[in-house]
Amino acid sequence: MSEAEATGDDAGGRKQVWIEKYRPDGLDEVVGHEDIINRIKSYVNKQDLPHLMFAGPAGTGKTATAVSIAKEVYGDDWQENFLELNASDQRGIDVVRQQIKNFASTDWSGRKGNNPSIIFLDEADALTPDAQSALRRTMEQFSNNTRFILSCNYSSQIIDPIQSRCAVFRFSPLADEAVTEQVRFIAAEEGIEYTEDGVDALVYAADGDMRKAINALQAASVMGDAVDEETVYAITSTARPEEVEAMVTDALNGDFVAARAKLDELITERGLAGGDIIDQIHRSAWEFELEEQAAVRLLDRLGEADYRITTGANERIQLEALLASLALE
Amino acid sequence: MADWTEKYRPSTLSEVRGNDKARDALRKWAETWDDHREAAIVHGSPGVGKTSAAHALANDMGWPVMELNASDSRTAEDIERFAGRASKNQTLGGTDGRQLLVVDEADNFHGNSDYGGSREITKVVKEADQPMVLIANEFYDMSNSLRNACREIEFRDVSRRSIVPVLRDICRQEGIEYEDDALDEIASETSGDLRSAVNDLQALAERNQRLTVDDVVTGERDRTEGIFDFLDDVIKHKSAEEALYASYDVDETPDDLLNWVEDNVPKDYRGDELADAYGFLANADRWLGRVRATQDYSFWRYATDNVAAGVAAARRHDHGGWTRYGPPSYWSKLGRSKATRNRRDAIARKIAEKGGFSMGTARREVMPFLAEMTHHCKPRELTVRMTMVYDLDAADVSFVTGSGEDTNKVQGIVEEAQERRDDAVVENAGGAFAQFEPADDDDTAATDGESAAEGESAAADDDGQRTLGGPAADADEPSPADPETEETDDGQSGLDDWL
Repeated sequence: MSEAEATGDDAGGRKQVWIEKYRPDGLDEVVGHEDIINRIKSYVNKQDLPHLMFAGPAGTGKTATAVSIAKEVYGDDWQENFLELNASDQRGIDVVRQQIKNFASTDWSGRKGNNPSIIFLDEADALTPDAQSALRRTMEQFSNNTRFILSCNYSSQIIDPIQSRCAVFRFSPLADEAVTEQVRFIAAEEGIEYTEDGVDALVYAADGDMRKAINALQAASVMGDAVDEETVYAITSTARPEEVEAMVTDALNGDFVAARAKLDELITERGLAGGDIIDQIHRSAWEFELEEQAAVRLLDRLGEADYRITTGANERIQLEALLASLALE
Repeated sequence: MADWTEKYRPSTLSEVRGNDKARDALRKWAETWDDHREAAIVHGSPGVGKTSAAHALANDMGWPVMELNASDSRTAEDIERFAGRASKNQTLGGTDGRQLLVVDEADNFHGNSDYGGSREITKVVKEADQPMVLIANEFYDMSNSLRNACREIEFRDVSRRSIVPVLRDICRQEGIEYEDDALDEIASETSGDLRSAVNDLQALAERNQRLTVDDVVTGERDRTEGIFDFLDDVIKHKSAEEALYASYDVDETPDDLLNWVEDNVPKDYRGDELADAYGFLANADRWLGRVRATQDYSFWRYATDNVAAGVAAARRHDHGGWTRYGPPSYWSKLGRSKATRNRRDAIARKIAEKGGFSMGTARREVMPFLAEMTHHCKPRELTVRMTMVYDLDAADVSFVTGSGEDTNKVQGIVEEAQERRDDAVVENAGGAFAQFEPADDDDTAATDGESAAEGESAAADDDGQRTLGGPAADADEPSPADPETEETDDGQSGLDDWL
């Protein structure tokens, strides 16, 4: 909030990272997941916040929601009452016994009303099982003055005793509409010109990950005058979906030479990495009207190429072999 | 501003629900503590009320609580200080100066950070001059000596029948209207975990003026796609693509998904489609192996592709109707066998100590023969001697012989072994032992020698007969000798089968 006001007038906006600048100031600004937000609002309104656990993939609003809760409860002072720890950086038992306990047992004289302070443990599934065990009793002991919000990719990676102490919410990947809306909003705030296909490209490249969409938008806005399709695909090293589809269709029709020419263009001229191309074929695998089993075989073969490239094989040869094999389907 | 699980934590033991037997045992333990001065181990699943019961007990007894849990550092030194402080408090303290020492998560000492903690606890437990309660999820994760030094009190999962009244009480106190079925639904969905049930109730009450069954059901739904719905999607109706998208909404790792699908797909698929489905499942497993080997979790998606889309794509026939899907039986087997494995290892340890060889040897090369030789406690005399020599308790004897632990037969054998051992000590008569000791050595010889299976079997046979022949002749038990010899034949043929 205060930051946004400080820099908003400078237009530029280039001085600040947008994913931080546009972090929601309150629960109303969190995009997508209305059910979840409504339930959390009612906790906050009744001043009756339980421990929370947010499960879901990256960029779906877990951190944004946690920060929003703190802002709703504390307003401007939220940062003093909010401890964010990334468990994948500090994942041992000592973190729980020292940092977390210290924060939880500190008596904040300046605390607003009787509100508990909030500890946000990002990537809690990276905590070792020992650290998780140590955490569970801490959660109860300090429940009169502290709430924990745990985020993780899969709640099943968290030990049962902790799950049983939390209200669990699952954040699914954001709908394209939600990403579109937020991209347009930020572009308008920042006074950026954009084309419609530019927005579509951002949404496609982000694939449900808001952080990726906003980062790409900011990067693209620095590149040129208007944010258009071409800039976005370049900045996100993404091929146009049509290009990928054309390449695969050629291969399926038995025209390997044409398919390989398109692959060459993507890798050599456009500088895409083999892994990026694999990701994109993986996303569009269902659009080629293959038999179901053939489609799954394609996915598995993509994986095979992916695995080999990761372990040091030549990406061009692996992808060529993949394209050649498609003629058999 | 309260978390209901804290707000409605019982303040006295009489409010502890769903575990009457354990609750009474705990109270009795506390009231008679001056007589026995044992520590207690309270164990059971998460959320069944163990910690609540300990604190409620302290409250009832008027004992202040000193607690040490996994959020504290728990090296040997820390624990010594903890126990020391407790006894100091006693001397400074008021009237009777009693204090309840609570060690939470006693099954969970950290290897490095809590170096020596587990051993120190065992020492403290034996010496403590204050009542002490250890709380644990897994009884058998604690050391043998610690378990033996304490009184065991087990908290079972709280039944639906006991959860519902607790929820009803809270609703009344919070002024929430409810349908009975709604509470019932919450209770049955949390399967034995009272704390989760209270959490769920609170979450639902936040959103609804009046709780109805529909709220509960939909409340669960919008949280995550249930695993059973997902199995239906994959195995029965959805296209490969749809099944894959459905998998994104299931909150399970690909490893778990694979186990679920693998265990349930044979209930519907047959022949060619089953073979195809297993082809995809095997591919998925290969991906999981690669994830483990490389620690690169981006390969997880290929496992999911195979499990969800692959198995759905393999479907060739219509599978209408309803199928009873269940959790992977492999899990329940693992779970069940955990106690069994611990018991087995405990017996192996006793045998190994006596025989002077490794636990592995005792387990693989002695226990199977003992089991055959004393099957269903026949012959009795041999079973008694085995019980004596290895100092087995009733549960051990039951494990080896396959007879029920509480049967008169097993109880009788354990008692007799105890009496005879006492007598043997008094008379210092090596005779009783001498008879068995060589047999023991024979076993060792057979195993150490790595002899061919035939040789081992011969040695074991030999063993059985000689041991049998011996005691029947010189011990004062003439009558059962004959029938017992016949039984031995049974035992031996069984042994041959086994080999």
